[in-house]
Amino acid sequence: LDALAAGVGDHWFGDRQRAWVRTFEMNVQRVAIGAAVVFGALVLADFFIVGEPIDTAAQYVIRSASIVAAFALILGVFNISSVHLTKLVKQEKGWGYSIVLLTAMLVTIIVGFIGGGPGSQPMILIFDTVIFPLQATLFSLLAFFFVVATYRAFRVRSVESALFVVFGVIVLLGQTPVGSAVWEQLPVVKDWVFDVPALAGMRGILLGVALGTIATGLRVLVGVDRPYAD
Amino acid sequence: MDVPFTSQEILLLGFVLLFALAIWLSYQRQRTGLGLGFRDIAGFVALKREMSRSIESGHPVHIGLGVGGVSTDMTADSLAAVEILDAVTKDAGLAERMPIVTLADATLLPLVQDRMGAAAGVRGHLENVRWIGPSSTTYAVGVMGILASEDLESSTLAGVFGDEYLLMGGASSQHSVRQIGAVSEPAVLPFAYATADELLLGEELYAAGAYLAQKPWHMASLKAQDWMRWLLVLVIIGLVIASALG
Repeated sequence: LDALAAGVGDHWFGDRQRAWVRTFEMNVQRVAIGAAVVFGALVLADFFIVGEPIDTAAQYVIRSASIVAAFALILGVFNISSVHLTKLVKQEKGWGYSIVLLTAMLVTIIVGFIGGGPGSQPMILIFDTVIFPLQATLFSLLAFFFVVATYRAFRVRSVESALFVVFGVIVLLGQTPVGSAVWEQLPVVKDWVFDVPALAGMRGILLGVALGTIATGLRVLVGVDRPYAD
Repeated sequence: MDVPFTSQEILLLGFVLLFALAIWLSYQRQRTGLGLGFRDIAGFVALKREMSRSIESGHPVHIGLGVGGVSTDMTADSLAAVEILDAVTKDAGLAERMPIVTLADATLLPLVQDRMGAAAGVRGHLENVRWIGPSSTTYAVGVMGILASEDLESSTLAGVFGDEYLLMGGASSQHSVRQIGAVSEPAVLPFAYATADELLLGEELYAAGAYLAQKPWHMASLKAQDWMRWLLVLVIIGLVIASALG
């Protein structure tokens, strides 16, 4: 508001205009909170209650959310263009890559529009010859990252990491033929590690995560947490 | 209207209602001045420390919000990550040292831009919010590029991640960028454990609003989570004893 007042001058944007804008903002906030509470309650009710008209209404709300999410992608394209154009204009470090990125994005958008959408032959060609091979190449690196991460995790720094190493070695040896050659009960111990301590730990974590998720959902649902309107 | 509740649904509804009541009771307890003591969590201490270091050194921190958005079943994780961002940007805004924020799901973009704009007080820092691309591979490549090219103080990966976490975590270590991992997905926890210097694991991710910003409702719900956990533990022990006794 200060920036607007400075731009147009106090004569055109005085206290009364500021009050109007603030009232408008507050009303928009109220509508956003009301919509979140009503639609959230509707979708939650659909989980517990089977039948019309709740099913149809909840499905409509979920479908609408998908459409809004698709619009968000347009904002993303504006954001990426703005970031890389700025980099290009200011000739910041790595600005050459920005040219490649913007050109590739523009070409893909044009091919998509002219070619007939995401399922068209030219788009499938772009995906099959450029995007999928690049993705496969990147994920093939995961094996090497695994080895480095395992080495780092296997450095004993505390009691916890010592236990991590002991169980890691048991599982590693238990999975391979050499494990049963060393000690025939090792695969059985490995299975016990998976079925008892590992599973119990994972369930404990999931229990905490579920409680955290419910707490977050409840706060948003009753309108005390307003990430969309603060 | 047909209302065929199953016993499981009734149990779940009862649990949710009881949870809501626990949050309200905890909030009332807090209002009457009864303290809600929480243990220290190293990850949150580290987050504050990294922000202070960033302000002193002049190098930005990176906050990666992962591949989650606000229209999926992992929305709670993304909102929790935004809470972390919120707390960091408030400190950063005062010092005009805004973090570099990366995300893959564009539904988070308006939310993050709004928070950053509000914290900075100006719109000029919005170039620090970077939507990388919608797929996990694209996101990982973009973040790895930022870790390699920007002179970062530290990197925090908070929110929803898959296998690509290991690529970004590995790149952080490779470029000697200190890393904080904040994830709840069990399949990603080992990657975070192996690569991050400090961790916020599982439910700790959802405690950001209570620990970093001392938001009253967040503190109340965190305490209620503890109560409900104890209740569940007692129920599990009771059922184990009952089934053991036949």
